[in-house]
This record gives sequence, structure tokens and C-alpha cells, in this order.
Amino acid sequence: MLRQPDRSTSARLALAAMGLSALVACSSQSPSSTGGGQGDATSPASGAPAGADATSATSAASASASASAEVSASASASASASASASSAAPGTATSTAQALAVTVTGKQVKPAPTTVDLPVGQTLTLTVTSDHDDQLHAHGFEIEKNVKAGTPVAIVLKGAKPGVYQVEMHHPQLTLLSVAVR
Amino acid sequence: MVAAPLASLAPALPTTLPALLLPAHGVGSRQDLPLPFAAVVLGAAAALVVSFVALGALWHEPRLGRDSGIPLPRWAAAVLDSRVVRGGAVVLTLALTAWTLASLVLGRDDANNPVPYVVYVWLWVGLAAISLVLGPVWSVLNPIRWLHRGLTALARLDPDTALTDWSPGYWPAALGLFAFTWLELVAPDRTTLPVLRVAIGAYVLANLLGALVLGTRWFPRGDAFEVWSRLYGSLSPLGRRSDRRWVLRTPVHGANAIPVDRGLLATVAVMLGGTAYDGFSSEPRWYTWVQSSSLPSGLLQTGGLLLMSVVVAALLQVAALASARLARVPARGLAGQFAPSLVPIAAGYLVAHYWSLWVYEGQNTLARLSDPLGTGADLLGTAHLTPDATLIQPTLVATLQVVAIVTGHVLGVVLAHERAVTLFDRRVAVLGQLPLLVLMVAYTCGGLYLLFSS
Repeated sequence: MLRQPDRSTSARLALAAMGLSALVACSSQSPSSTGGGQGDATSPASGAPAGADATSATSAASASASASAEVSASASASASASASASSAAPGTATSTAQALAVTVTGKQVKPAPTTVDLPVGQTLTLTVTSDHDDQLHAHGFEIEKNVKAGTPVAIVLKGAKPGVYQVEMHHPQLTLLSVAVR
Repeated sequence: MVAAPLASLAPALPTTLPALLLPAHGVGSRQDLPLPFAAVVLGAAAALVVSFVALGALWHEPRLGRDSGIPLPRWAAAVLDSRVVRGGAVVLTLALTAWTLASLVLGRDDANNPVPYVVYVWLWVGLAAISLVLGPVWSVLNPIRWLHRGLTALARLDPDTALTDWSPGYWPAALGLFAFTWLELVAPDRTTLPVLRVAIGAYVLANLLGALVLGTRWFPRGDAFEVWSRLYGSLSPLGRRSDRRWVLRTPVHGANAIPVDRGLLATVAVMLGGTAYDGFSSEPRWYTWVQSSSLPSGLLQTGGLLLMSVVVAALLQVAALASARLARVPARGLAGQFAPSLVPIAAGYLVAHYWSLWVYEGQNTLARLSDPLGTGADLLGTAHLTPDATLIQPTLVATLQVVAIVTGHVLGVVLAHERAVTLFDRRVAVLGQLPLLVLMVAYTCGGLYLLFSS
């Protein structure tokens, strides 16, 4: 007597779950342009030296090009940290690169940490200048570098596995930015 | 995320080590991509619609009895009850515990030590995952129960001997879960062996002490991991009917049978609040403020974690108060009565938040367990296991996250409805559950927002 209603409860729940999964599966196939909002817009990275110390020659060239070329105002505050070269360097056919310079003063990070989009296969050249000796660590990219006070250090992050990864300094523990590889 | 703790192993590593020596180093810091905005809107809309449809369309008399469910075939029940299966699982758990303790005491304190992975991935997330599928397994496997049983046998004591009849309810578990969440998300150097030695030692001692004072009845309400396993395990499709027969049933049948006791609301609030804080802590505006503040960041993080849990509990109190007003019943104890309906919501958010970590780092844990002492050994033959990423593709994960959160929400609404028609007069039951419904929609939208923004 009691089992009958139970079955209908389960059936209703199962139906609801199945319907939802179908709906979501459909919606996530569509381009998620509304999802990020960050990172696509461009803005001035702080100064031209971005990319000067970069270890990879090709990305250094396109990165510094982008940093000087793209000085348009940013529409979105959250995007203020990224400088995209996708439109600035029409000469480079396939490889597109971004550059970003970050300055650490004590516990302050400039520009303020944000999430930067990095498409799979593209690179982000990150230049870090700190007022104290520290250790730079890009999680997920397996990059660790010692930073000497006042000397800019550049690392090249290449988007590989999709996910969000944080770039940190360790003394004190500071998150400089999150990189969203998609 | 556990990301941060696992990542904080990094300073211990010489930077000159070639990457080859560090398989998968740093992958603990991978987080999921933010949910697409369309998925968030869709999920929130689904939650809203389902909630209000449920309000009108669901049953008007209590229906989730302890006698319901589809009985399992005899052979399946026999397997579940068999001494071989249960004994085997216990032996395996105790062996894994001993293996991990050896690594904790004798192992090398570096990024390849398995202990932080076993604790933060297998024990915490894995136990919840297994419990969601199989039920409250930890009440059978709990190594501290076995330790207590062994010690009392040695002392020729009855394990049920208690020094007092007084019961603290779920409060010890609430405190224990908060302590663990703090360790996982806030404690400095939380992946290093010295910190883990203190934490694990304190956990064993506290639970032995609890069991000595209250006897074996300490474990179901006092042991944080057993309560963690029991509450999530209540949602398992496997359960026992009131005549102890194994049945297949819906998650709401199990969760409806969660024993309500003092401290249950606090426990559920810590479960939901802790996972919510974990998501919130990777929100750029939050961590920017915390790390550049002149106050110690640990203090602000502890405050954030505590505040999340308190807000979850306080909102339920307020909603229960409003419900009591509308349904004209006494407000006392009502929030606790509705606390079980937050368990599926917490479970949905847990799955959404930890799926990738469980799938990916769960495999890394197995690889690290093969070399427990840091000697370069490959005792299990799994040292070179490369985690498979098929199950963490972004589209799959986003779909799973929204489905998990909305499913948890639907189950929570159904449970709250059952409670309302049980506790309230029929004419005011619909009106009376309205505040709780609004609260659940808010929790669900909050969960979706956290997955979108951080």
C-alpha cells in the first residue's frame, strides 16, 4: 500500500533530474560568451618592459608589441589586468599572446588580482617585480622562480589543460592572479 | 579549494629539481572553470519553478515512511550483510590506515608524501562520495571504533561502558567538522607532516576520550567523520527498512529518517558553510582584501569560515521562525526539525564543488600511496599512474555541477515539504513552508553564484 506512492515519488524526481540534465547539456553546448566577461577586453598593462625578459623569443616579440599597441581603455573593471594581442598582431598568423606586468609592494599587488582568460595553446607573458626577495610560483604550469627585490622576472604561461590556476608569491603568501585556461 | 594546501608544499621543494622528478606536482591547484552564465540562469530558474510546482503538486499527508522502499533480492541483501564483504572492507580500511600512519610518522615531508592526499581527498571527499552511493559506511569501517574496541577488550571493559548518561547530541561532530574544515582551508602549512601529525593525533585522542566517556554511543553523533558519512550516507539509494530489511529507496526517504538531536543544525550549517567558504575563498575580491589587509590573513579567513556557517544556520532559524508564525505552531526546535532538508543541498554543492578534485586527485593519491616512505619505491605498482582527465572535461563538469545543485535543491524542497505536512496543520502547511522554500532558492542561487564567480 505504501510502496505505490513511493514509486511515483521516485519517478517524479528521476524525471525532473533527467529533464534538467538534458536542458543543461544543451545550454552548455552554446557559446558561453556571457560566462567570462573578464579577460577579453584590453587595457594598458603597466609599462612597456613587459616581455623584455621573456625567455621565449617569439612570444616576447608579440607580447611587447601588444603591450605597447593596445592601450585602449577597458570597459570592464575586472579585465583591467590583461592585455590581449589577438587583434594587435595580425602578422603572427596562429600564435597569439598576452602580456601582463604585476608589481608587488609588501602585501599589495598591482594591478589588483583578477581572473585572466588564456585560450588553450596561447601564451601569457607575466612580468613580476617585487620590492622584496620572494618566490614566484605558477601552479599547474609547474613554474617556480626566485625573485630578487627590484628586478623584474618574466615567465611565459602556455595554456594547456583547461581549468583555473593561481599564480602566487610565497613570502608572504599572495595570489597575484588566476589564469582561466579554456 | 584544497588547491591551496596542496600547493603550499611548493616552498619545501628545491627549485632546481627537474620537473621529471615531480610527477603531477602542482595539479592540486587546479580549479574548475567558472560556470557559464547561461547554466547559472537555467539552474536558478529550474530551482525556482520546481520549488513552486512542488508546493502545489506534492502530497498533502506525510508519505516518506520508514517502511517504504523496494526490497532488495535476497542474494543482494546477503552480500551486503555477509561477514566476508564487511570483514574484508574493514581489513582493507585498517590496512590503509596503518599504511598512511607509517607514511605520516616515517615518511618524507615533501610534495610526494601521500598523507595530505589521503586526508584531504580520500578521507574527506572520498568518504562523502562513497557514502552517497553505499550509505553510512564509516560506522562499519571507522578505525577509531576498532581501536576503541581493541583497547576496551585489552582492559576487559565493556565497550558500552559510559561514565555519564548525558548526551551532547551532534555538537561534538559540529565542532569536529568545523575544526577539520579550518584545517583544510585556513591552517598554515596544512599539508606538511608536522601539522598533520598534530591534527591526526588530536583527532584520535579526542574521539577515544569521547568514547571512554559516552561508550560506543559516542560515535554515531560525536565522531566528525562518522556523522559526515551518516548524513551524506542517508541519501544513498540503499537503506534499511524499519524491519531491518535492505531496500532501494529515494534519497529523501533516507534523509527524512535522520535522527534530529541538538547540534544537528550546527553540524549541517558547518557542512554547507564550509563548502561554500571553500568556493568563496577563491573569489578574487575576497582574497585580494584578505591578503592585503593589515590584519593577519589567517584571522580573516577563520572569520569568513565561521561567518559562512553562522549565516547558513541563522537564515534557517529566521525562516523557521517565519514558518512557525505563518503555520501558528511553536517556533522552538523547528529549525532543527528542518535541518535534514539542508543535507541534500549540502550534498549537491559538495558534488559540484569537489567532483574534479575527487576524480583527478583521487587518482594522484593512489600514485603517491605506492611510495609511502619517499624512498622511490613502487610498492603498489601505481607510482606512474597518470590521472585520466576524461571525467573532468569542462562541459561535463559544468553540466554535472548544475544538475547536482538543482537535484540537491529539489530533494531539499521535497524533504521540507514532508516535514511541513508532518508538523503543520494541513490548511496552513503550504503557507508555512513558504519561508523555507524562499531560503532554499536563496541557498541554491548562492551556490550557483559561487561556482560562477570564482
